Amino acid sequence: MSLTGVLRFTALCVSAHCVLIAACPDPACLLTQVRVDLSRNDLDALKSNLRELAARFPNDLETHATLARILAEKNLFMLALAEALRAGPAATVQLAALENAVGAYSDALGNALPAEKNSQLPSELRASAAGVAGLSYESLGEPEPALEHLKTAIQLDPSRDNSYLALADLCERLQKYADAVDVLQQARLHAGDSPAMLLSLGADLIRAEKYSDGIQILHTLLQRDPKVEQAYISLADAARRMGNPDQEVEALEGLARCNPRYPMLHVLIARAMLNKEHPSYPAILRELALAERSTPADPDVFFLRGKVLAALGRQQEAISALRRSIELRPMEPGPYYQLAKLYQKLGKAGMAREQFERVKILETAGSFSEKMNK
Amino acid sequence: MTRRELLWLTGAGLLSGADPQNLSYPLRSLQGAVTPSEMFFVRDHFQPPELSLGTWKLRVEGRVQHPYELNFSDLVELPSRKMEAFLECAGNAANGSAISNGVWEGAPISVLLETARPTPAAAFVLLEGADRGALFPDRPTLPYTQIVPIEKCLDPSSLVVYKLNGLALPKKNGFPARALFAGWYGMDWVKWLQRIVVLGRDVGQTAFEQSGMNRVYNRVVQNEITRVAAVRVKSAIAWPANEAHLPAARHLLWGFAWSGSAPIRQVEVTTDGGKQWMPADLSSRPGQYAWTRWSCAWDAKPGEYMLMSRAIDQSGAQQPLQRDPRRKDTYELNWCAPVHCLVR
Repeated sequence: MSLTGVLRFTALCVSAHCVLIAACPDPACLLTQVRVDLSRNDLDALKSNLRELAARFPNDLETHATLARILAEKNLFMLALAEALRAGPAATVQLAALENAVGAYSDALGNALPAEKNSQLPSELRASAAGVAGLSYESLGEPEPALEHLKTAIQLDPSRDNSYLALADLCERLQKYADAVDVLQQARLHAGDSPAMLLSLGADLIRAEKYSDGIQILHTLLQRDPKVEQAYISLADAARRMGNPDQEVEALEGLARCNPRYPMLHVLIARAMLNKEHPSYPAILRELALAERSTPADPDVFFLRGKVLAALGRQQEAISALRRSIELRPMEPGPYYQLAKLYQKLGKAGMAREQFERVKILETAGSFSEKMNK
Repeated sequence: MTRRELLWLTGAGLLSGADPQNLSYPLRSLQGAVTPSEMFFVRDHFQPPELSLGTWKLRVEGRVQHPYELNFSDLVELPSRKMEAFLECAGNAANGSAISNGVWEGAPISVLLETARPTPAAAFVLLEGADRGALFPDRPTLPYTQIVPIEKCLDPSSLVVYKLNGLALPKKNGFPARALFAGWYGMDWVKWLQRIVVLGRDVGQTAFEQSGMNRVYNRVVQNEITRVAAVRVKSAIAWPANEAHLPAARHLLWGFAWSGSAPIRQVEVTTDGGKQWMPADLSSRPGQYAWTRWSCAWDAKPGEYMLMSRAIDQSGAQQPLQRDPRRKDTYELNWCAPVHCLVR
């Protein structure tokens, strides 16, 4: 069909569509039109039909509740919210969930809290309301009521894993890692072992310093699905905390097999290798060369290279690498300090003093900005 | 405005009313070019009102043939526009942080006005917020209002917005809906919007005059008084901070530049108090109403420095080096402010 033909056909379809809407005898017909608009991704037509529905069927609360559900399924949360508001009491919990999703947290609480307390409602619905209340309190920066409502959500419907995950996530943010572990262990009993659950539990066990239990859980997860990248990171974290660089390197090499393009992977491996009792400097330099190839402006690559070259006695190359690191990140004290030590070793006391002076400036600036941030 | 009134205005917070908010964050804490909603600056006149989506209404009335009221659902289902735009307080200091840049979404005010069918006499639009208080000690308690020419309201870039950075407006930023006049100073971006009143050429006695709002946000050049509106071309150095101590190294100076009249064409930086200027890189695309982030590499050798940035927009408007000495007001503070630093 020629371009003119396509345009004429489109125009005919649009006008036929408009005629159809005007002739729609009931809301079901308009609902169909809304579905058509959604499938075409035609937001203007969609909004026009929603306005038409609101004008012609303002009291058909069920239709508006259905529309809210359809729109939410398409991630059109603000429009879904508009319809949930029209639906009123037919969609209170849905409305609260949408208000929370668009960031209207106080409104979400206004609708969720009465629904949570309403013993006439099914417990699953009350659990949803309690979950929404918990998340809204969390977004408003009120962790204590957030914890309480998420716990209530679990009590009302213990089979729903997202309530446990939300509660554990909040405990993590509050650095209550032992509490997060308790929540996730409860979840395993009542809601099953989803990969997300195992990953959170493994990571939280490590944060709670229960390293062997955490490592065991993460290995169980990786046996089921070796592609969970974050599990390798948590295993590396455990090894680092336990002071075991060999295991840390092993975990990161597992990550490299899983995703060789993982961000900063080679720098992480190089850093772990450098912590070994007898580091293989040539191997570290090879990792850093790989890191430089993927991120040529990463100051950590040059900082670590400077340290390695200094350890190998290649002083001039070390100085160049550290200077490059400073060029890329001039406000980081580490490279100045390494440079100062190198100059000291080379007997250049004046140059060493100059670098130590800069470390002092940056440390003062650091503590000043910390104070400012508080 | 009397001297007493001026002191009252520029004192703690802007004006009276219980706990008006006055928040801002250092520009150097921003990553990228969009200000996160929670870091938007706030300059309130009165205490924020308690509004909810379920009960909020916006009334459109005045010199119109069809006055009407719409609720939040009606507003959201109107044709909408998404736009990146900066918002600056008219009293933002040179190098100050009462400036933010966000992605807004809302319905064009023109659509709302067209539905109301303004009469031929329509010339101005009064915008009223749900926040209220006494602007001056001798004035009554009234809602916050501003008056904007109808031509600006009919511009497609003038919106009633309900989204900031993809989510509902935060309460402190005007939830559930506020006005947006792209390229104009913040006082016209009326928050917690509840009423739009179309006025004739003879505005008459409105809350705007009764509250004393007509006596503030004015440009006073000797004895001539005009209303502050479009944002003057301006730039700010976000990093380093004034009086910073830096190690001698190659540093990246950076900041933001903006103008209400046209997109930014160029930013220049000086490290010697204005003797020599070097061009900065614009690291985000200059938009019609968005600010642009700039950066400039500097090989800092030990010594004392006076840094400044200077923006030029595509209309040719250039940031002045000094404040116009004839100005008697405290608005449009867009001169190139120095940032002193010591390199060791």
